[in-house]
Amino acid sequence: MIENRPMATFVSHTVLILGVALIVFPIWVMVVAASHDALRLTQVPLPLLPGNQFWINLKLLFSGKGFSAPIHLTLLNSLAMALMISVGKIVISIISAFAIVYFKFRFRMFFFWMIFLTLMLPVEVRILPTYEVIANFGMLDTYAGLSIPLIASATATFMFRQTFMTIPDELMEASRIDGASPMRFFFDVVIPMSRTNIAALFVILFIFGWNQYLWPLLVTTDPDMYTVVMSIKQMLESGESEPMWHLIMMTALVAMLPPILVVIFMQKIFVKGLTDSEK
Amino acid sequence: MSTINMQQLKKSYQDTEVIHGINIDIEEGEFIVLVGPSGCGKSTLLRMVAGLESITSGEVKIDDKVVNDLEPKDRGISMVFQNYALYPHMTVYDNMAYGLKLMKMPKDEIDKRVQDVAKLLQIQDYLQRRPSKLSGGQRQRVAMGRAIVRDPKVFLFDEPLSNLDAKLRVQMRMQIKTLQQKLAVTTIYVTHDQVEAMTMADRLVVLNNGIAAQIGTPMEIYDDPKDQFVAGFIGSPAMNFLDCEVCDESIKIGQQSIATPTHVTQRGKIVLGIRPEHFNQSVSDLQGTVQMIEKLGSNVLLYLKMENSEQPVVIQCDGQLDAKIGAVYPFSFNTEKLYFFDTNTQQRIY
Repeated sequence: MIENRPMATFVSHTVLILGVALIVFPIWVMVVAASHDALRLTQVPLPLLPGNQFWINLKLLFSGKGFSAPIHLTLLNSLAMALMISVGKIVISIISAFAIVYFKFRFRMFFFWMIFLTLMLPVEVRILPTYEVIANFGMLDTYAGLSIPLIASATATFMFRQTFMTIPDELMEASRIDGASPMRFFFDVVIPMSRTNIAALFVILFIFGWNQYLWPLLVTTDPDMYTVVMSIKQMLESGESEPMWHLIMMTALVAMLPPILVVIFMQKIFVKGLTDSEK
Repeated sequence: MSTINMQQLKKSYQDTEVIHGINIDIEEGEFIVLVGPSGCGKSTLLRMVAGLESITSGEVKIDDKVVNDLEPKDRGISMVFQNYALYPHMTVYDNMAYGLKLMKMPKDEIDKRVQDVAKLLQIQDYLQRRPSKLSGGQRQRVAMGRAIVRDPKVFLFDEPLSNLDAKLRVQMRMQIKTLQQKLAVTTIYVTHDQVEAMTMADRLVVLNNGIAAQIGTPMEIYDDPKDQFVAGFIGSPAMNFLDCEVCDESIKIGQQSIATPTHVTQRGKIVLGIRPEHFNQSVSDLQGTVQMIEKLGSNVLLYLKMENSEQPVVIQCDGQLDAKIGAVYPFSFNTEKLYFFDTNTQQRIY
């Protein structure tokens, strides 16, 4: 569309700038708060310009003094949980979508709708029975307990189903004539052709896993198993002493980094995966 | 080189039967074309031979061995699809080598075969490219290459040229035919284009609603069609059909009439068929109003309206002909080339 209406340009830019400011401002406050010492953050007005304590705070945070869980451990736990959830979700849903799209078996649609129904049952709804099951399996305070209940994914199954349905049937027939078994076809044709979708889904699911809060809070009692998102909350409830805002903000900043890195590095494939149809 | 026999082949989807018992015997090295309008079951029949579609009843034999329950890969066939079905994420080389790799053929043997076939089809220059970087004609040749490289007993083609433009289609038609003669591999070729069917086939199978309406060489079918469907389907432009009434002295076509040929003994209502190329312009016992003129360069097609008939009569005339729309144009049939069909059964009588 080629247009030249200055007023429209002005309005659309204003809206865009406001929208960006709305997201960027809290992050800015977080960065600023992370660069001052504890005392400055208890005084009014709150600073809006960065201080000079940034590296000192960062060092202090990683020295791990005075916290229940050291930050590098919680980061590692979060990473392990997020990776297990996202990889597990992709592996399970891609296989089930493959079964649903390419095989004709009894009750196929029934199973599909069963999977679809689980969309209505997120963790929060089934949290008590799930906890009971995990506890009985002795999986409290383990990575398995953190990730397995979150691994089944109707959304991902549905997305892969849609992707597979865009792959022409002739490719499956051609590979049958070439002598490929169903699993060969799966690995040699279906997976390479869904590469971009897998990447896009990985980004979404990694962030979903990283941001989990309620479930880790329930199944972990051992501080060594805390995730970083949880630990921010724990730091706020530090008993009689003042909350250490500069360190809390620094933790939040560090916790934001991995999802940002994932998005930055996978952005290209991510956008391609959501829009591309080179088939 | 292999023979293929189909015996009483039937195919049903749930309760609807789409192929009603087809018998075809194909000889070694023969080029068979299955032709028919869309929905007549020609692709289904081909896919049953390929093993992509199950067989409800009847038998398919390749080299006298029943293959009904064999997987496609064990039937010794290879197939070229309408949309080529090349693997988009593999290079041309890998596309051609994929089937051989799955056969666990040694690498240098694969390489030799792929290079040989690439040379044969003149696609050596794009072996390392992806299919998306190729033109339609090149993709078509890669798809053929993938079929040839497997060294099959039988080639199956499923409307392979319908995605190409007209000029390329004529070129590829020749290439496929020459290649098939060179390799002498038994071939079944599906198309809805009757020109393609006529030019390529050793023998034609005209399919109509899941039945083999007629099987024969292109000229047999052109000269001697069994029923009105085959007569109308083969030949371009299509045969004219006129409802008429046969009396003792003359055949009445609306208000006009021609003398009754001596071999026509049946009386009453009948359908007369005449090909556009079988008209006489020197004699004139009939006439019609020019409705439309199609100039094709080498010849001209006249669409004439006769009273009492909805369909215009198409006549192929000399390219120099000068006619005007709305003018009355006299013509007559080449009486030796008339066909007569039964009004009800549509079978040919004379």
